[in-house]
Amino acid sequence: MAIENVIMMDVVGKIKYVDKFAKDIFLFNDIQIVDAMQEIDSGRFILPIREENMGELLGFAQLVSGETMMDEKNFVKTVNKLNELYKGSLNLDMISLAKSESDLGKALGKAREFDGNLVVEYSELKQINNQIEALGKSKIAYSYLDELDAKMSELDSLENFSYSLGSVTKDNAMRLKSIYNSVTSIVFHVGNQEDNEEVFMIVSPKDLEIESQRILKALNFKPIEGFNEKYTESPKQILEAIDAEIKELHTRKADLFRKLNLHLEENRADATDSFNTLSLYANLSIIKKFMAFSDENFYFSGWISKRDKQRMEAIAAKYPEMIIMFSDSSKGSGKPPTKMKNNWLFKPFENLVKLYGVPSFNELDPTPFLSLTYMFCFGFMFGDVGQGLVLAVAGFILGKRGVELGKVLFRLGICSTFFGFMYGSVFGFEEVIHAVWLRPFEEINSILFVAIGIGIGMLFVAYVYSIINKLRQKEIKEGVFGKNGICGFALYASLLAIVGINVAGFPVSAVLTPILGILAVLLVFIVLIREPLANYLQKNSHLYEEEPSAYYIESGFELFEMLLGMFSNTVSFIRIGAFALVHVGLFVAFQTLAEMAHNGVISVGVLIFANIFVIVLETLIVSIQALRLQFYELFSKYYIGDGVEFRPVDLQINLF
Amino acid sequence: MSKSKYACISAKALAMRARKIDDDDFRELIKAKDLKEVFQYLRDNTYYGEFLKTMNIDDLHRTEFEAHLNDLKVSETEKLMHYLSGDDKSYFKVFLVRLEVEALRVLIRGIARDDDLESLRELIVYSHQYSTVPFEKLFRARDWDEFKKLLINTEYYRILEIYKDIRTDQDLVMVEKNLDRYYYDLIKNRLLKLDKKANRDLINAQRRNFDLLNLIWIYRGKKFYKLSREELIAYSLRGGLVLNEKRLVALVEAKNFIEMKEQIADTDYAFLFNHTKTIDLYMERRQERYLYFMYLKLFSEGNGSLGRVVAYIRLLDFEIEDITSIIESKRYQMGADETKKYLIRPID
Repeated sequence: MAIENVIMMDVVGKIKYVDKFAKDIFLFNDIQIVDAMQEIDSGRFILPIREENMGELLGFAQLVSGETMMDEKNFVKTVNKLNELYKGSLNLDMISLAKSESDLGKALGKAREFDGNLVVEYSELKQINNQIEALGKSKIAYSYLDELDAKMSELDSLENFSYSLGSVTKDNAMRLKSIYNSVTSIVFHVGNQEDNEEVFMIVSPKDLEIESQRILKALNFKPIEGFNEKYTESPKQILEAIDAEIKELHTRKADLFRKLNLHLEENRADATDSFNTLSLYANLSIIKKFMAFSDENFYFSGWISKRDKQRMEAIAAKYPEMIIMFSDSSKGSGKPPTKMKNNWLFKPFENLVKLYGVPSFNELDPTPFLSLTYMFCFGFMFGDVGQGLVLAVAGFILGKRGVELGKVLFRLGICSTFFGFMYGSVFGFEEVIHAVWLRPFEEINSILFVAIGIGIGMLFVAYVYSIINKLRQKEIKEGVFGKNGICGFALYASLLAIVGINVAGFPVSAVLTPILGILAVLLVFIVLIREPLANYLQKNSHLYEEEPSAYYIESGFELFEMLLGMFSNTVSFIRIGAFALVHVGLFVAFQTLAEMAHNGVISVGVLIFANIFVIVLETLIVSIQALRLQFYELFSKYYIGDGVEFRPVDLQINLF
Repeated sequence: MSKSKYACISAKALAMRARKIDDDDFRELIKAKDLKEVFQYLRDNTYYGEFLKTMNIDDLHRTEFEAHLNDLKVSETEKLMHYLSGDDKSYFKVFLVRLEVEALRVLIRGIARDDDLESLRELIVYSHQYSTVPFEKLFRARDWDEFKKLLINTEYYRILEIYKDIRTDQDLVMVEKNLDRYYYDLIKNRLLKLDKKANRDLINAQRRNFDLLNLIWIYRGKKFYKLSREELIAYSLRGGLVLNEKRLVALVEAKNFIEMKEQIADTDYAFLFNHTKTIDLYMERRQERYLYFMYLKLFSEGNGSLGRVVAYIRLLDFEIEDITSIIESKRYQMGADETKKYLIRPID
């Protein structure tokens, strides 16, 4: 079975054990947590009414959801801070967590102490950064005056004149220039700013200062910051002093950093401990959010695999007075999540299935069928020993690097290689090895017929899947009488038989054809009236769920679509033969090009290019075409895929 | 090459102009009894209808009604911008900047009066697609400092940051003049980047526009505000066609009105002052009528250039202004003949 049975586990325990229990859950990991409050509200969390359960039962009346009580944010904040300090070099160590008893109080205390030690250094750092920034501004300000050969103290203490530096936009600089000669101050252009504004120094008589300021304001003159009366020397000297100051601050900053790092390294062990404990508690808080609490008890629900039942019971047994209950998915505990379970060969293909939808818990997992047929179709369409091996190697490398689709590619490459031997093709050349089976280009008809045959086989399996799925879901109407049910299957088989015996010219055809024909008509009729028929057999009061006329119009169109579909779905499989031919044809074209070149180097170049081109293009096209056959021709028959994926604890919780 | 570049947008502008409201429409609007009738006519018979639909006829505010006419301008400008790229597009975008500046002006006045800016929302029209001004946040600004801070990532911050307060009338006027100057400098700089050969007529038209604005500014600055020579220069615009820097300075230095008039007697702009009694009253209308005819010409001749679309938007500006004048005429209960005098377009 490729879909694992999951069961709902409901737990009631004493509140004093909640942290330990939550830790067990966290370490157990393979469990999908459900909001216990919701379970209880919807009446699925049922405690057997017994004398010894009275306390727990009474607790139902005063339940509070963990959502309102738990707050992991503080833990997460501290954890993130630690993580930042150590630049992400701290890792959650599950093994040591499992072994040791972790003490939350101690960890919090340590983290706080840690924080306290850093505050001093940090505030000092911040102060230095502010100073450096201010000095940077002063540096820019004084550098506009670097050619001035006078002391700033003299400028600052002028009796009748004041000076200011500021910037204006280019356009306003033009305006300023046209009033240079008449303005009541002396204007010097002293430089340009990074943002393209021009910087001017304005010296004006103090008596006329207000007048000058008015004009400057009209030009949107923006004073430059950074001048400070504490600098009294000439600008050149001031700049040197500022540079020295900045340099010193940088050394102090580096020093502080060194100290800080030393401090961090010294305390790494403690920090790791706090990090672990706090991460754990952050996780536990999140787990506890899903729980419900009464005064004495906590209530917990989650999905687990059926085979984990004993292990969970063992965990529960550690705690006195803990009640643990399991209920089957079939007993209506909400919609169970789907836990897919496939062997190493099929596992990577689960991603392709999920692309379409996760199977529902009561549906057959299509992964094994999809994997086998997908690999087969791919190999059939793109059979080449050399190119297949290239794909396999590429897929293997990608897979190792953690690209899930790489693993799919690896398997496809192997199949391609296998079919390469069947067709006798190596890097497109057909002269190197013998074909084990046939050469596609030499037997075009056979390859196309085989393709259709394979398609029919695959469709048969799809029908079987569909019938099983529908009957499991107790859908008599579609499962027995539907177009993808037993009737549809029988109809498809008999139509195929009619075509088959007539084409092959069996002597019995004269007798069998009319019988099969009548059978087919009968089946078509049954599919047409499937709804009233199913309802009649199930003794439902209503024969139709809508107006009979509307039903027959709709059903009539569906019949048309079904018959058309049977034909087109079958013919659609020709493509797997056609692509086998395309593969050869494409390469023949390149080979001809290479021969036309009459130049060894160019020919080899063309052939190398041809191989790269074929590998890239065909991998893309063939994988898409094969997937299309799966999704469109096959899945549409038997697969719904509206399940919910099973998400174990660590996927549900995402701290960082 | 450059001709074909503008072929598509020229054709588009031609087609769009076909929908414009014509003299008959204007006669109907002038005939309308009151604000309500003007509104109804525009809503039911013209391309403004789309933007007026949402307004409640029983609760019409004149200024909001006027503001919403500009919704059409935004939508037409945005539409035409799809056909442009590079420097052309960036020049064309100044029409949206104009609305942005107008909107900021309204809000800054609101701040100066201590208004709740949220109440001015209906007067604010801007391009939601292109504007980088966070208007939604500005509506919630409570004071001038907060208002300035919200604009920190826009070009307007540089203009406004030096003003510590705007509650005095003088500062408010300065801020508004500054915003205008920023807008016209932007036009000038973007105009410089256009293809000069293809767009000669457009560039000259825009430069004449600068000339006229300068003339009016200097005339009024001298007559009404008694501004100093330096301030007159500080707020004058650059990039004029006839009035270069030297002539501007000379105009500013002119001792009196007669001297000023003499200085421009040899230019096209003499018409501004060739009247005895009505100079001040109709100065703006005369200026705009001059531009109106200039842009009409640019529209019909600007086939292979950006000129035609620019003219299209400018003519739309004049149309909106005329409608605004008509709306105002209803308020003062002017007669038809009196109203016509204030319109930019001549209507018999």
